Amino acid sequence: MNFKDEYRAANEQIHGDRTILAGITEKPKKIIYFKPAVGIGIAAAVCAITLLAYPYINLPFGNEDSPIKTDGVFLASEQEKGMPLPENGEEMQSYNLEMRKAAPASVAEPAFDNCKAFGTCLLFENYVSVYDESGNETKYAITPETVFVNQNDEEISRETAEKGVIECIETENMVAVKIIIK
Amino acid sequence: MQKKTDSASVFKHRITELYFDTVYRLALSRTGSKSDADDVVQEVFVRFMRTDKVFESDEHAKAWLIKVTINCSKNVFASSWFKKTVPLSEELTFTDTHSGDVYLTVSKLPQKYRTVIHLFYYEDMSVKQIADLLNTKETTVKSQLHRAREMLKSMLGEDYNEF
Repeated sequence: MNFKDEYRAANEQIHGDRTILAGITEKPKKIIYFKPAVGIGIAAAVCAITLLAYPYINLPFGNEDSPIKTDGVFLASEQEKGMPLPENGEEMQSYNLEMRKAAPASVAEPAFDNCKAFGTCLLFENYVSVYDESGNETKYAITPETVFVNQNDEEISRETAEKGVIECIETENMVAVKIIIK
Repeated sequence: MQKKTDSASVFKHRITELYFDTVYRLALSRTGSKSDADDVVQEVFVRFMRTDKVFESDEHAKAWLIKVTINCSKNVFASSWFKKTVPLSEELTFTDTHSGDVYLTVSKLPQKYRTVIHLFYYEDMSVKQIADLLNTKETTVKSQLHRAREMLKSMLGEDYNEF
């Protein structure tokens, strides 16, 4: 008899148990939640949105286009006039926050006739803060009827007024606010 | 080369299906125990499934599997847990008595002889291929084959005179 044929025939009758392969899996692939290009795109989109929204974001510092810039105008001008300023950043912050409070509903609407120059004041979204020489603040509400005028008493828009220098004027009996465009 | 349309996953599953018994029979020949052969086969296919190696052909994959089977069965021998508890004759059943006797006779040879006999007579490998697989010289393989045949002749008797 041929050894090779018999040995081969015997091996052909041997079969392994394939159930032992049941738990064998391929090497797990790395899970990539999104491609790097997508991540870069998201970061770029966030930057673009931030840049577009920047002029409209009210930050306590650094935003030159924000209406809050009026704080800086006030501080600079009042400093020149010798008014006491907050000595540290914390006081400055609370000082500014205080200045941003809404005006009382009962304040009188400002008038624009027979006024004399008083000084620089602050224009906020819905009120104007006027400071006397002692640093006392008086707030005047800005209502839909409030009119902004330039130095020639010509009516101007709110947006134009924000770009100008704001001055306060008063008569003998009342205080008024006038927006002067120089 | 692996076909471009044949993904690595599909290729590996096809090769596993194709060469499962080849690996099992070699492992059984080397270990002489079904349970140890199962362990070796499982280890071999775990490595196969997780390797990043690119196989050029089915034959390339087969050669890789045989090589890894030999290495993995060496680990079984090295393990302190390796012990043959059940005789192979009690674990295997053959429909053909003659071929069964031949197989069990081969299983009684020393392990190094069983391996060269299996690779030479069942896998139809050349002496050079076996030497490459076992990292040994061709003359060593020839010598082992010669001694194995002599032992088999004496164990099987005159009925098997053609090797």
